Amino acid sequence: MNGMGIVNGSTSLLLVEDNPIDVRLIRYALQQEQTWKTEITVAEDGEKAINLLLAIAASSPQSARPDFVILDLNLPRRDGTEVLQTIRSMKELQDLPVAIVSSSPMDVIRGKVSTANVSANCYFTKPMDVDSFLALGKELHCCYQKSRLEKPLAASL
Amino acid sequence: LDFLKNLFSTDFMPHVYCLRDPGLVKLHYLSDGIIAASYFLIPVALFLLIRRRRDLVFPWMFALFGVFILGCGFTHVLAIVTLWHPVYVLDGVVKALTALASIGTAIMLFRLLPAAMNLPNSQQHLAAIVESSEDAVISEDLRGNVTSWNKGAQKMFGYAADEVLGKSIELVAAPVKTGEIAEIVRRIKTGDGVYQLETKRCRKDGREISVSLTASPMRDTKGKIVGISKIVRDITDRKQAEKTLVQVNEELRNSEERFRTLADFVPDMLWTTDATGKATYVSRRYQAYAGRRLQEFLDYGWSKIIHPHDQERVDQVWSESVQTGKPYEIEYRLKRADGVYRWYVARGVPIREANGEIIQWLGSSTDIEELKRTERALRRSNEELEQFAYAAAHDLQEPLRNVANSVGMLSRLFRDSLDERAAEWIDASIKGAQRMQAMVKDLLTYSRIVNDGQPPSVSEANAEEAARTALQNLHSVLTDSQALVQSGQLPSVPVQETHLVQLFQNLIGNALKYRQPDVPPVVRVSAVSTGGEWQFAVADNGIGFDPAYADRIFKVFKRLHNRDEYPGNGIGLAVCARIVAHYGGRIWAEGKPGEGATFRFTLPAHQA
Repeated sequence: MNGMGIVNGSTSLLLVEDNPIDVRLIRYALQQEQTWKTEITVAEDGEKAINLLLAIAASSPQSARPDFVILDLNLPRRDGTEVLQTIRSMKELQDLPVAIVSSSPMDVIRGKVSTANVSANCYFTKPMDVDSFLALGKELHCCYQKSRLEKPLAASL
Repeated sequence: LDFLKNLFSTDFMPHVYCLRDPGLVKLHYLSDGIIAASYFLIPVALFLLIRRRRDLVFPWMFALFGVFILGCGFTHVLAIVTLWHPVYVLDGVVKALTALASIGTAIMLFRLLPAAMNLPNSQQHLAAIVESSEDAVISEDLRGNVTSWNKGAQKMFGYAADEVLGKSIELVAAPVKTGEIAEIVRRIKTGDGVYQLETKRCRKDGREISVSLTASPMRDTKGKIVGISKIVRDITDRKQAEKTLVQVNEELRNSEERFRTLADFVPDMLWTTDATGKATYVSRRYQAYAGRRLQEFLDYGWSKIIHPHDQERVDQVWSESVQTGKPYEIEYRLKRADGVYRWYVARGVPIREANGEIIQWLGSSTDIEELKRTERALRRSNEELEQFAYAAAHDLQEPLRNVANSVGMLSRLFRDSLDERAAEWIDASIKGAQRMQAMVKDLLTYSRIVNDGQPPSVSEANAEEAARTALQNLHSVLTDSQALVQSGQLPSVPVQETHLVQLFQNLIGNALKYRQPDVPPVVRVSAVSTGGEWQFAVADNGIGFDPAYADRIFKVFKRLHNRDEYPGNGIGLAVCARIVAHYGGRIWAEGKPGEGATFRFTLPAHQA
């Protein structure tokens, strides 16, 4: 919990992922991004992620609010779409940039999200090899940058 | 009064005075009396004759005779009277009247003479009848020798009169009825006859004819039997007609019996109705199934055992068939004797007369309960299997990715501290995992073709647009291979567009992949309409294939080539086959090694 928030110019990041190997790969890929300092908090299932987000929304000031969420869809207990719905349904969190990284094919990912009637900022399919994971790290960085630029001016003040 | 006075005037002398002799007077009045009496009796006899014999020829002539004779009678009465009373005036007047009647009768008689002369005598009359008769009229003596032979007989038996007169009638009886003649002669001799005996005779030309024969004894004036008269009628045509009728009836009964036997024997329940759709018969099996008697099925009785939910649909389809004459086919539930409903498929065809008019309907009802149950079970098991394939493929991906990525990290992080052999093993592991991953992904694609959670599409897809999309997806391969793809006019079909795109993409992609080295690939896409469906073709000028494997290539993961020669998992054609099968179509391939390949598939032309 202490790792949350902007510390020394690094991005506070919530990774919702149940597969420990994927957690390590994403962590490794993000470490390779020299220009992007990240502080990663991991939630291993959907329920933990939702509880954490609800607690953050309730606290004031929201010092623990993450800057970016990387979200898997197939999660134990509560599904990734429910996590996304929680984020989008709360005033305090609804503008939070979210990237979905799932092992499902892209059309299935988009189908699931649109069925849940919500939307994420970016969508990725989990890569099959290490090199692609490194590429994913770059793409996530890019996604975060873009979402910051798209953010309404008022919110960044 | 004066006239009457004159009439009875007696100013003359009576005859008596002239005759003088009393004997002579007596002779006169007795003779005149008898004549007068006779003349009065004759008209009575004539009158009775006219009254009784209505068939008299020229009856008025007899009447005229009566009047004339009556007149004569009166003149003789007056002759007696004038013996003693001289009423000569009256006598003269009566004579004059009688003279008139006499002369009239004489004139009429002469005028009648020619006509009367021409009246045939009875002999001639009979002869004429006999001659003109269609029947054979024959007379024989008591030994059976022919004594007369009319034209009818000549026509019937083919013998002229002079050929048979004096000869035995056995001539026409033999050889079919030898012995019958003797029997007839025997009966005639006893005074008996033969009445309308149906028998056979033989013509001169050898043809056999059926006849009806009546024979009666001929007697002389003393009543002694002297011969046989026969009337023979040709009944060959009638017999033939009767025989045909019997045969037709027999055949009808036989075919009816055969049908009934068959109807009771076959496992289906059979029925017939009249042209208006009213049941006329149901087989025993049907009766036993429903536990009802035939009577309860007749007319529309059969509809009582149809499931209430199916009733309206059956009525509709049946009445439409009856009205249009189109074959009837419908599935419905029928109540068994124990109250259980089972699924049946009923089929009916109209039976038409030569002029095309429907005379009845013949139908069968087949138990499809097991089929229905199997169908339901199969559908369920198919759904479960698809679910399973999807889940398995999906859940298998994660651990595989873990293996591939873990080994990948191992290689990446410890590359420098591993020797060459370790690096090779690591590479092999990664390749294996990646290949399996690709296959699992393909399997996932394959299982998702018809199980993507989407409701079945009801819209039409334009095949030309789908082919265009497929070509866009294949853009880089097309450019690299310098391929030429030609397309004819393609129709719209009731198929999900993504499926159509995938079909074209896989087939055209296949054609490009298996191209001849150093020959730019040419691919032709076309479609023809064949009775309710479209047959598409994707033909190429590639390497072709051994026709022995024509079926194998559509199976999942089946490949004809080494992976090093042509990459791929062998899923593309399997996906095509599954898509086509989903719409009830067929897919097949034609080709020879080195001579290109043509893939054909069919899709419905209209919404099923």
